[in-house]
This record gives sequence, structure tokens and C-alpha cells, in this order.
Amino acid sequence: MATSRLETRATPVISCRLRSLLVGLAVLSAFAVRGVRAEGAAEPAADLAAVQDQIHLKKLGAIAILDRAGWRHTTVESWSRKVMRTIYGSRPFYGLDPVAAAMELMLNPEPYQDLPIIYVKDRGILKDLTTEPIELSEEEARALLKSRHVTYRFLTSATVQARVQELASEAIKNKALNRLDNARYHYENLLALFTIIPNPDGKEDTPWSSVVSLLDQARLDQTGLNPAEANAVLAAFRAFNQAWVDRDVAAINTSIDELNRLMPTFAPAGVYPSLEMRTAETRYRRLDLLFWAWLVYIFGFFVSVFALATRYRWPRRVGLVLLIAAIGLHGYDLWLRWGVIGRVPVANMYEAVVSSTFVGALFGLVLELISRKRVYLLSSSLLGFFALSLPMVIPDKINNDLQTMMPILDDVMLRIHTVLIISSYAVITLAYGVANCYLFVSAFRDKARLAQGTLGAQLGAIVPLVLAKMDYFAGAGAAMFIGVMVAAIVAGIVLVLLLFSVFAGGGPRAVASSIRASDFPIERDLLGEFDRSHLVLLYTAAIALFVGLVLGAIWADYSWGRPWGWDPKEVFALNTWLIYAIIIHAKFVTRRRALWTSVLSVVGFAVMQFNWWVVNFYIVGLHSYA
Amino acid sequence: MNERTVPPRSFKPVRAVLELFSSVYLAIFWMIAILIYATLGSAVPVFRQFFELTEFQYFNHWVFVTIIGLFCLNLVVATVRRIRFNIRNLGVLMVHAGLLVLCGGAVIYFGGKIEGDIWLDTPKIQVISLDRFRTDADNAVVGQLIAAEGETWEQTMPMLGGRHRVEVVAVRHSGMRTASVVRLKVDVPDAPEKIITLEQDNPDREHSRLAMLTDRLALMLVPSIETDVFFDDTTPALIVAMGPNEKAWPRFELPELPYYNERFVESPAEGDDEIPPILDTAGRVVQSNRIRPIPLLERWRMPIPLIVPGSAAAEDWPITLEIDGYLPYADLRTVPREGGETVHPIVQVEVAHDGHAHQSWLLADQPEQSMAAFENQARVEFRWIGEADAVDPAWTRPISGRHVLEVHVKDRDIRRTYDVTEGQTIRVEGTDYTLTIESLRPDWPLMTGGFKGARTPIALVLVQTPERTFQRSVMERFPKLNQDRYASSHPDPDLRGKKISETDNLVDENIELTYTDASQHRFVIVAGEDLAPTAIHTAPGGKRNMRRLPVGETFAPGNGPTLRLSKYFIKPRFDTEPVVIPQRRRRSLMEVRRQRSLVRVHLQSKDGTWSRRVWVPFSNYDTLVPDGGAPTPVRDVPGLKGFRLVYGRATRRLPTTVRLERLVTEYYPGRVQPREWTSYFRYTDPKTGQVLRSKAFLNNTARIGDWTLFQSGVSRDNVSWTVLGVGNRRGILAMLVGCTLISLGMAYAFCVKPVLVRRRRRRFGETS
Repeated sequence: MATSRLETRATPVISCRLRSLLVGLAVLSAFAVRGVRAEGAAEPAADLAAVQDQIHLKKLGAIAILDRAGWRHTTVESWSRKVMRTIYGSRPFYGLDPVAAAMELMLNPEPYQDLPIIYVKDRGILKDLTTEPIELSEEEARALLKSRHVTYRFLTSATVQARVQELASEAIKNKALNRLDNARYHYENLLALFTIIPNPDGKEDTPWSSVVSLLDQARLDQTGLNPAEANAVLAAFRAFNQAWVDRDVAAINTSIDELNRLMPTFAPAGVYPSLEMRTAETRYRRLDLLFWAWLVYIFGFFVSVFALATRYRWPRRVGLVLLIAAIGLHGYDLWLRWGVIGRVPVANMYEAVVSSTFVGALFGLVLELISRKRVYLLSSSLLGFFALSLPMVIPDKINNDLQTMMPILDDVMLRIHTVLIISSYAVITLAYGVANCYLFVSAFRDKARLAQGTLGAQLGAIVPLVLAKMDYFAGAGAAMFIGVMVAAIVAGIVLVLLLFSVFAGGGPRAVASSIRASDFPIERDLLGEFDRSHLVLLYTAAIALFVGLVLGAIWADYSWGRPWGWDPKEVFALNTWLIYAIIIHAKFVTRRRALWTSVLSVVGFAVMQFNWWVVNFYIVGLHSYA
Repeated sequence: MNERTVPPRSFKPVRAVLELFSSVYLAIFWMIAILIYATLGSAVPVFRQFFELTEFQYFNHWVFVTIIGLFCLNLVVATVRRIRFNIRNLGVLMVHAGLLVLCGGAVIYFGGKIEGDIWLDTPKIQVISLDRFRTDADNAVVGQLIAAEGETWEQTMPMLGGRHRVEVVAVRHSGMRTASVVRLKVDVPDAPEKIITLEQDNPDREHSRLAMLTDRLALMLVPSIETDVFFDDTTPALIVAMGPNEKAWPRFELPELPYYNERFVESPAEGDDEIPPILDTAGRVVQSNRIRPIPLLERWRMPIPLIVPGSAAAEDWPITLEIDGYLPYADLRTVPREGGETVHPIVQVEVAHDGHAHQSWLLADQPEQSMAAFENQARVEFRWIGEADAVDPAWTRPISGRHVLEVHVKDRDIRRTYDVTEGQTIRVEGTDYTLTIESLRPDWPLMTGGFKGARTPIALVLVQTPERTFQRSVMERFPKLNQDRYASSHPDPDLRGKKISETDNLVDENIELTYTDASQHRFVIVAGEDLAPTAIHTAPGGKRNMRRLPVGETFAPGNGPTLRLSKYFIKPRFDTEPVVIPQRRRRSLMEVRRQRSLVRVHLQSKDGTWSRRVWVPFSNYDTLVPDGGAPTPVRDVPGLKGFRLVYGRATRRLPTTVRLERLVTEYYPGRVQPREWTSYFRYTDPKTGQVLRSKAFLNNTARIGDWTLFQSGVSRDNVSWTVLGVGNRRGILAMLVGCTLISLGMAYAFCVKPVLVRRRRRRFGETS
């Protein structure tokens, strides 16, 4: 019978020594630098995966835990997801539920020492770790670069650690190395981070303890538990640990019940989160409604394209039903999150994206119901589909961790400011969708060069973004990215203009003929409709953006002592508004007002995106996450 | 907006200008110009940094103000000439009027904006060790608590008999005097709980701020500072800290000091001393950026004269001062070099283990700096034996065991060596001594005067003879500091843990105990005037190796860590020199502002016979904050004594004085992240003279006269001091009115006007 982790860890010191010994052995071993799993190795989690459905994981996930890094009492469910993403990335761990995976790494870590489980997000760092003097065959290096996971033994080997130290002097790699270090730290200290034991003598802000503190005589006093209580917790935890290692489902479930019963009894009144709150949080995590909302938005988008192109009534009705369903799922997810975190969910990037998308889609739905233009239906679905895919595409920047708000952001005025600004961004995105409808029809039907060029520029801009996602620019400076972006935009414009010129009698004509106005069942001024719909959105965005800016300035005045600090975020919000001011005045200087409005709307959208992503993540300032 | 038809006219310059400024094309041009200007300054910081402009200065530059001015002119002319003043156009008129009011308000606001902060500490009660006060007064404070109800200080001091606890039970404030009376509940070993009252100034009670906690510890009430001075964030200053009266220190404001780039005079003037090159952390020579500013565009200059011969300020001083160098992202480091006058033996060692290498300087005559421990893998110690020419045999003789205790009973000349463990009891054969190993500690910090901060392995040994029982602390590195104390089981609880003899460290000289911690790798470098550096290595278990270690060579005994002697000076000279952080590593430090910058001050006697250049580091609050930066002394200034320099910020005055009452910090669960800071302070109303209480906390400002105070920063411990931001806000009302007009105007133009236009068209349609 395997021994539990607590049995092998008489004290943390022994464990550290054991780990040092293992690291030492790893140095001596020629296999220490093997970053990939040996072929044919059995997956140690297979037996657990087979029985995990029988384990009361929801009950286990509903146990409260103090997430010190997140500054809040949360649930084991949320904690597990967070630590597993930190250690292993966003993919499922050997087919395990996140809670089961976290428990497995915490209670039964030994079988995983030689398995590639530590996620290296940054390809540049991975390349650094697979080159000389680190001994890896080409095949191993390739496999490692592909899987992006390394073994703990590989990571802690002397040669790799020496390389990491060397890289630490390069400031540009600090962020990536910190991420790697954080993954390692979490893997090494899961048991100590599992702080589920409330302090009976404490208050709401008093730190909670883990079983590691109970094993350490020097720290026992800080837990607030008397010896009898400490022994009871240790006994329950040991039983849980042993049952987990033995894969004894009945015993595991008994231990989960015991931990669930025991922990709240230590907490002072009013400190331990209520069962309803914990269950709500677990439900929120497990339902994952946004994924379903995203799927429905996608279906809605394709149906609405059909509805717009054909002008039949039934596709519009189906599109409306799908949009309402998607917004319903989306709204319910936000409602659950709001209840769990106890504040309006607009405090971080994830919440800003998800909430603004909801507001934008809802606004589009209302406009569609009032005006029946169909283009609102399309742009709302497009907004939902585009925005909700972001947490999946860039999970490291947009993750759904439940976080406590920074103290300075905890202000009513600021919340209104944020809601208004991000809502205006959502409306700008809606406008962008409508602008592209206009440009598309102009490019194909009216052969407008400006529209063709603008579409080409957008297609060109996608290329460097995809390359960036593939880590093509890892370690390169901003100048290279900007250079590639400019080149790609120019190339996109030239290519699309060429295509329209060269194949004027082929594809484009065929497409144009299919959307000729006369072909529609109901004869209407399509571009005029697009333009009027577009203006409604632009005016709304301009007002919301400006009022949002003013409210932010009022908040800054009484918070920072000055209303405007020429911070990059403020400047680019102003720039976005200036673009819309230019759009509004464009009708006085051009005869093709509607076309120019659409082109400038695309520019406004680009500036807004720059403000949201580049300023937030790459330019240091008061609003930055850089 | 409706366009009017303007009939063709003959060319007139004024009309041409009016035509130009009524153009919408031009308005769009100005908007694009503002957009480009703002983008360059904000998204491409190196652009404005090239001109040494902060964000605030960049957007307050005359170029930007001119663009805004021309845009406003365009706006006025175009509005008057192109837009009909009627109810339909009310929206656009409001927006344009709002823009003008907003721009006007912004010019007033940013033109006169002053931003800074004020540093305020909390009243405190210090716990003072009287023993240490006698030997090392600067380090006599052993504890501290804030003078606020509920605050506690608790420490277990075995040497003083156990647990000591002090709790503030009541605090009274009186006028501007915060914590004027403080009542404390004290609980100390072997004494009943009691209440102590401390008062700031009680005419009936001498030394009312002081009280005895025990016979060896005292309590002292330290009032907080009262000040009307705040530090201006936008203007640096050089302060000559000469004399005890800080208010009389001359302050030279330096609005022309560069901000972002290295700018320094590289070539000395004729007859001047040679200027040594400036290096970065990688050892590369740092070049100065240009030192000639672009006329009109830039306001910085280099060098900046401070006291020029012939000026009024220079009359009393025999020297002139100028700033002739500026380095951002730079620190000062002390570098030992050959060429000193007195003996201060120093070595630089490099210990390598498991692919990691660490360097350290060791000073033999500074106990706290004579040993270094490297990640628990090895310890290295440097010993200087002076005129002796051989290594003490006790340091090299073979030992066996991980914790070795050597016993020498002198009257019987019995020597025994034991490999000991905690809790072990040893009867020393042939003697009456019984030894019990109470504790073995690998890293014991010393507080003894002259040894403060030094660390040593220590064995606490209970010594028992038929006559007496005592505890001896046996130190590995400083055996002369070994002490005999009453045992923890002594029948008189008052005496437990206390030193037995007031005059001597040891009460039983007959038994000599020596402790060696051989549980980890240990190197000792021994050198003397007649002994070249020699390294002794003790491996875990006690195996010893010794060899000569010339500079540049590596000592690799076995499979453990290796030792390399990089540098060795007997009479070093300690030079202070700047070291610059290379450009590529600066981003990781984020925006450090001036806080990591240096200025070079060039001092020169008026007769030209003496000159010196001194690098001075930035200090955010002059000398106010503990550890916030000591003044830089300049030695041998002709005709001036105690000449010290501080490079900090210019000061401005509030209309009244301010004093902190208390800083309250609330935390999120886990006590890692504060949730709220609230600074309660008192000030005298400038108009009525009445003392008022106010508070500033996150998202809530306080006002004193025209100044706004807001919570800006706190000490690292979240209780000791607070920083309140200070700023003026002229023109803010105009900006608010402008913004309101724009918001309402846009709503009207986009929502109401289309309805009015539709109605009008319908009406016209019906009429026609």
C-alpha cells in the first residue's frame, strides 16, 4: 500500500531535505535533464480518472479556503482551478477534474516528479532552456517545445537552474521567468498553500492555516488551534491523504464529509463563508455558462448573416431567438459572478471584456427589436462571438479568476465610470461590425477602392496578431512588431486592391452579383440603412465615452487629487473620442460621408483596441497591468 | 450644423484669416494635430523623454498650448460664422462653448498646478534597553508601538526573564498636540500587571515622557512631527545641510535639472582634476547625452550654476557650487581599492556550489561583515591575525562530528572532545562537571556593543557541579563573549536567564568550553601582516583541509562548494562611485522617477586652489524618514565645517501646520493586502485659529485652504507613517462646467435635434 504524503512528511524540514536529496540525485543522474516523459510510461492518474466521478468533488470544492494571494475567502473549487492553471496551464490535467488534479498533485506528488507537468508559457524561455549547455537530444527538445511542459526534475536540475539564473539578468525575460518560478513555487508548496483551517481566535482578516503549520511546532501557536483541535484536523487530513493515495473512494468521501464538518467549527462567527455562497461559487465554476453562450453567439452570427443577405423573415426570427438565448446565458453567468464576488464585475480585464460584451449585445438586441435593421442582430452576435472567444485565445491575459478589487478602485463613481467606458467600447465594437458590413457591400457592389483598401488593411493586420499569438515575437522588441504590423497592413491593402483589379470579372463579380440590391426580396437602400444604423451607434459611443471620461476625471480628482494626469490610458481614451469627433465633422469635408464614416469607425475601433490591450499591458502608467 | 452660403468677396487679409479659421478642414487638422501630439507623448515615451519632458510638462508645453489655442480660435470663428444660433443648434453650440470653457479651465489648472506630498509620522512609544543605552545609544531602542488605543507590543526576552507585553489602553489629544497623554497596561515577568501614564509635557512631572518598564527597560513617548512644509513633486532641489537648524539650511531649487537621460560634463575645465569614467553595472563606460539643450524647445541645462562668484548668495561662502552631472537609474556603491592609510583587511570571495556562484566582501575588523553564509551551503569567514605569523592550531586540528564540544578542565588539565546533540547529557570523566546540551543554534545574532549584527553558531550548555548550576552560552566565532547565566530552572524566577556576574562574563573560569559547528561546509580565510591568505575548510563531519590561497586562485576541497579569493587588500581605500543601470534593464524597474537618480556637485574654492566633485543620491523627504537617505558629507571644504549635501525636492508651505494623530489600516482576509488606509490628522484653521480634526482616506480627500490633501502612501509596516498628497486645483470648476456643457450638448445634438429636424421637415411637407 502506498503511503500518504503526510506520513512521509514527518516535518516540512524532512520534506525539504528529501527534495534537496532528490535534486542532488538528479544532478548526478544523466536522466536529470530529460524534459520529456519516457515512452510507454503509464499515466499515474489513470486509476484516479477512472473513479473521480464517484468522489464527491463538488462537496470537496465547496470547502472554504483563504486565498492569500487573491485576498479573499474562496472555495477549494476556485483555488484548484487557479493553481492548476498556474502549474499546468489551461488544459485538463491527465483527464482529471481540476479539483481532483490539484488534490492529486498535493497529496500524491511523487509519481509526477518525472512527468512533464510544469507549464512553460513562453516559447522564448523554452528555447533558452533547451539549448546548450543543457543536454537534450533534438528530438527531446522538439517534443518539449511542442508540449510546453517540463518535468519538475528537469526544472530543478543544476544546469537548468544555472541557465535560469543567467536569464534573470535580462529584464525582458523577467516576466516569463517569474511565471515559471511561480509555477514551480505552487507545485512545491501546494500543501502549505492549502489554507483551509480558520483561526478560532481571529477576525475576518486573520490568516488561515494549512496542515503544514500544524506539523510545525514553531507555527502551531499561530494557528489558534488547541492541541486537541490540531490533532483532530491532522487525523482527518491524514485519513484523507491515505484514502486518496489508496484510491479508496468510500474513505475519500468520508474524509471530505469530515473536513466539511470540521472546518466551519473553528471559524469565529461571521467569518466562514455560508454554504449558499460556497455552493453558488462552485456552481458558477462548474456551469461554465460563457462557453455555451459563446457557442450560441456563433450560431446566431451565421444565421444573422443569412438573415441580412436574404432578407427572409424566418432567419431573422431564429437569429433573434439565438441572440436572446446567448444574452440570457451570458447574463446569468454574470449574475452568478456578481453574487459570488459581491460587487459589479468590472474590476479586471476578464470582467471588463465579459461585462462590456453583455451590455453591447443587449444594446444591439434592443436596437434590433426597435428598428428591425438586421445589421444590429449581426453585429451583436459578432460582438459576443468575438469577445467571448478572447478568454480562450489568450487565457493568460484574460482569466476568470475571482479576485478582490484593488482597494482604491472600490468606489461608486469609479464603477459608473468603468461601466460607461467599457460599454462605450462595446458599442464601438458594434459600430465596427456595422462599418464592416458597409465596407463589404461598398467594396463588392460599388467597387469603392477606399472600402477595398480598408478591408485589405484589416486582413493584413490579422497576420501579425496571429504571429504574436504563436509567440513569433517572443523576445523581440516593440519596434519589430510595429514594423511587421505596418508591412502587413500595406501588403494587405495592396493585395486586396490587386485581387479586385485582377479578378474583377471572377470572384468579386460573382460575390457582388449575389448581393446586388435588386436581388433582395424587398428592395431597400442597404447602404443607407447601414449608415443610419452606424450613426446611432457612433453617437451613443461618443456620448458614453465622453461622460465616462468625465466621471473618471471626477473620481481621480477626489482620489488622486487631480482630475487628469495625461496618463496613457486617459490620453488614448481622449484620442478615441477625438476620432469620433472627426467622424462627426467628416460630413462637412467629404462627399462620400458614409464611406469615410465607416473607414474612420474602423480606425476608431483600432485606437480603442490599442487603448485596451497595448496601453493596459505594455505601456507603464496609472491604469496599466504592464 | 448648418452651413451658410457666403457670397464671393474681394481678397482682404483679415477676411482671409477669418475664412481660414472658419474652415472645418482646419478644425479637423487641429484635431489630428492634437491626436498625433498626444500619441507621440503618450505611446512613445522616448519621444518626450528625448526633450527631458515629463508627461505633465509635455502637455503643458507652449507647442501644445499653441495648438489648443489655435483650435479654440478656429472653434470660435467657425461657430460664429457657420452655425445659426437657434434652438435646433443648441446642442452643437453647447458642445463648442463647453470645449472653450474646458480648454480655458485646463490652461488655468495646468498652468498653475503644484503637486507634492507631506510626510507625517505617528506618535510612538519606544521600548529602550538601558544596558544597551550605556554602550550603544544609537541602537538602544528594542521595540516600538504606536500611541493608539489597542496597539500592543509583545516580546519574549529570555535574557530578561520572559514575556513582556505593553498595551495602549487610552490616548488623549490636546489641541495640536496628538497623544499628549498615553495610558499603558504593562505585563512583565515577575511583577503584577500595572498601568503606566506617559505625558508629553507635564510641568509638575519632570521627564513625564519617560517611565520604567522594568529595571532594565524604559518606555518613552515620542511625539509626532508638526509641519507646514510639503515637498514639491515637480521641482528638485539641492540642500546644503550645514548647522543644526534645518530651517536655515540653504535650498537651491533646480527646475532645470534633466530627468530622463545621463547628462554630465565629461571633460574637466583647464586646471581641474581629471574626471573618472562612469561605469554601468556590466562594467561598460557610460557616455553622456548631449549637454546643450535645444533653444526654445527644452528648458533643462547642464551645468547648472548654484553659487556664482559675485552673486549675493556667494558673498559669505568661499566656494562656488554647480551641478555638472545627472544620472537617472543610478546608485552609489562603495568600492574598496588599494591605497588606504590604515589597516582594514578586506577580501572579496566567490563561493560556487551546484552551478551557483555568489560573491561577497568580508571585512576582518567588522564582526558583522566578517562572515557570509551562502544559501545554507557554506559559510565563509575572514580572520586577521595581525602580527602573528602562524595559524592558531586550534583552528586546524582534526575534529570528528557535526557538533563538536571541546572541554578543558584547567585544574586537572583534562581535555575531552564530544560529538553532541541537543538534549544530550555528558559526565566529564575525571571531573565533577556534568554538561547538558540545551540547544544548538546555527545562526545566533549578537546584540552586544561592537558586535551588533554579527552572527555565530552557538551551543547553550547547562553546567552542573556539586556547588552550582548555570547555563553557559558557548559561541563558536567569538569565544570571548561566552557568558554564564542563571539556569532556566533556578528556584528564584527573577534570576532565571540573567547574567550571573555584573563584572565578568564567566563565573567559573576553571572549565573552558569550545564549540565547533561542523554540520555544513565552512571556510575560514586567515591572513596577517606576515601571513599570506590561507584557507581552512571544514567539511560536514569535521574533516579539515588547509592551503595557501593566492588572489585569483580557487580552493576546491572535495565535492562540496569551492572558494575563490578574488581580491585582498590590507590597507584599502573606500571610494564611492556611481554605477548606472543599463538601458535594457530599466523597464523591469518600472517608473522610478527621480528616486534612483544622482547629481554630481562640483565645489570649487573662489581662488581656484581647491575643487571637488561629489555624487549625491536622491532623498525623497530630506532627512525626515528613517533610512530615507543620510546627507552626503563633503570633507575639507575650505573655510566651511560640517558641509553636507542633500539632493531632494523643493519645499512649499501650507497655510497652517499639520500633525498626524493616527494612521488606521484595514486589511483584506489574510492580512496581505490592505483594504483601506485612513490618516487622522489635526491642523489649525488658518482663518479662525481653531484646531480642527480631519481625515484623508482612499477616494476621499481633505481640504486645508486652497489645498487638497489625499492619501498617497504609507510606511512598509502600514502604521509608522503616512504620506498625504498635496495639490491645488484652480480652474477645476471651469473644467467641470465645460464637460457638463459638452455632455448635455452631445445628448441634445444626437437625440433631440433629429426629432426637431424631423418635425420641421414634416411641417414643411404638410405646408407644401
